Amino acid sequence: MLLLLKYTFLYSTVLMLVALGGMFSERSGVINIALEGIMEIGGLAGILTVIIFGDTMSTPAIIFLSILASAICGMLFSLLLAYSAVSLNANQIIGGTALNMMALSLTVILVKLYNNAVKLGGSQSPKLTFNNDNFVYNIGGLTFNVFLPIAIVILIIAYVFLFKTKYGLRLRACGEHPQAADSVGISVYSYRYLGVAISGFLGGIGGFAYILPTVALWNFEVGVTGFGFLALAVVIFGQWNPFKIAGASVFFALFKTLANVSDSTVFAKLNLSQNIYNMLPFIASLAILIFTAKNSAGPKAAGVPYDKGQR
Amino acid sequence: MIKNIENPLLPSLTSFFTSLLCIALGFVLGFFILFAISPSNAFEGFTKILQGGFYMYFKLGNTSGLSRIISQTPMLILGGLSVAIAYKAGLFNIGVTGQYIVGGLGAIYSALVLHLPWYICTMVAALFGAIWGVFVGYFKAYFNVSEIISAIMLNWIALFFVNQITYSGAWGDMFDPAMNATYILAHKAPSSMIPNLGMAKFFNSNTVTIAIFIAIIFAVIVHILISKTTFGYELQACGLGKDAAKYAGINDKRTTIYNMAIAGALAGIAAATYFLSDVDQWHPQISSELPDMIANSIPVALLAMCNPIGVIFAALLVVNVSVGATYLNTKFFQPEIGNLTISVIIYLCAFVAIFKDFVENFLKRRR
Repeated sequence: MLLLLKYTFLYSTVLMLVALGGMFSERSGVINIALEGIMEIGGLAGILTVIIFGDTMSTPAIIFLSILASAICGMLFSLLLAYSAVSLNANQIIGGTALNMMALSLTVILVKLYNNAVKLGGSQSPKLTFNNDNFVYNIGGLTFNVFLPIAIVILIIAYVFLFKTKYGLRLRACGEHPQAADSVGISVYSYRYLGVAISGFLGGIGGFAYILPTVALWNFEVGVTGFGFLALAVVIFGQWNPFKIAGASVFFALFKTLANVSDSTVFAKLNLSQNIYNMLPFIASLAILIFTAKNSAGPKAAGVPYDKGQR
Repeated sequence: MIKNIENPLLPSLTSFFTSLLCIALGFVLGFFILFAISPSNAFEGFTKILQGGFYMYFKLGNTSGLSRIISQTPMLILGGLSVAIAYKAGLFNIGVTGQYIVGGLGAIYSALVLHLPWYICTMVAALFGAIWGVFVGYFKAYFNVSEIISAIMLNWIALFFVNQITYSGAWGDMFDPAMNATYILAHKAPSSMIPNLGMAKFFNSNTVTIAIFIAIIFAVIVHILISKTTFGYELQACGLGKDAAKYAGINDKRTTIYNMAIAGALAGIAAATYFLSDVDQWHPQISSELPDMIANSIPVALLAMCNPIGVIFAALLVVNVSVGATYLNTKFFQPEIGNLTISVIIYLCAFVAIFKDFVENFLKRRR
């Protein structure tokens, strides 16, 4: 049971961070399908910071620095999407697909280069070993990690920013009706850049939060195993609203956890195969989408490049 | 659809040169990547990537690289066609991976368990793929589910479903514990293999079959279907403007579903050409990630600007680069550089609008 709680906390933290990122991007009018790639880049940046500086710095300093590194790198990578989708009015899905592919091969190459440089005799291993002691706490037998409080703070900031500030209102306007926003002097391009940059920032932290807490060894060839795409479904299920997204993340995380801990819970008695548990989160999200998509009110201009001359 | 009045060839010429420009720029960037990693070996590495499968032939006169190209290209041509035909109707078929996986199950099942002849196996694969494609089309048409999101979910469902069926033996014995994969067709069901008409002997590799010709024939069929039939016209009308198509009396829901069925069938046939040629087997235990080769169909289609004939050449290029990258000296370079180069090329495809203006002006000035 404790295991179930631990993984549910872990996965819902990750999904919430990444889905909130996806929400900002779509609210501004850009569908960010590159979240998967952004997570990989951010995860690698954070892990490398931990490996290089982990032994020499104090705990709060390394936590701050590594999370900042993952966020900044995720953000820089997302700007590639923003440039093609906003400045060049290119197809957002094509750009995102290219970036996912780029991130996966780039991270593997960088990890191999790092291993090659560090180990004597050279090594072309795509795996990194790291120490996550600084990030994980045991409270009453239950393991927490630092990302949970961070995610809750970000959730509140996201809500306040989006619905209680004028900048949030303007960002939403750019995703609903960019021409109207432009007509009252809002720079659609800047706000779309902002939306994508926030999604890169949060996606980067999310990738780091996914890779770091549970294991001590990560094979970067597997990327982040579809979590970025799952987060896109969470955005829709959460109706582009921060608190609903938080709820949706917990729901999805629970299904994902059932797959991981199927052996150690009451479900073991059902004797179902691991494959069936692995399928569950995806079947659940598909079923929910079928029932909710018809009435879902997403940002109207999401996915449509902004054309100044259009009425 | 919209033809330039001055010169009917201008749009397709523009597309062709724009693609070439993307590829050339992508390769230049690929060279810079190699140069950044190891300056002294960059030139040698770059030649290997450019020569690709021909490298071994030029160097040693052996055909191993060529046979790898011939056996891997059909899958990417058919996968690329699947993405291209969906794109013509305004659908982004990221689900090609899932349709390929389920199609692969159809091919493997009908070969290993039912021992059917290869053309029937291929049809079963097409049917399986089509069913998986129809799911996406149906959810899109009647439930307004984004085809991208539902396809991503269906990809993962397909992966675990096929792992379960092949490994558990629920449909019959397909799993070979010794190989930790499904049985090799040449040993267990040689009659279900796609014939090679002596090509296997010539290339000294039994994975070289007539699959490449099957793929090319399908490229021509898809080209005719898109540009010469009523269905193709309706499909393109839906892609260009859904509301206008509806107003003109086209049943857009039906077109969406049929189109996804065809796209799924093509992805299924892609899997058939791959598994029925014994290029590889299905590995149910280590396959906890989606197969990455077929995902390259999306770059292939985009590179070809969704032109079915262009898909043939785009697939050849992509396979050539990825085969070439495996010849890189792993002491200095990583084989992933091949994929990185392709992804740079696709990213540049996003700049098409700018390049297109540039190429169009250039071509017009020449006339």
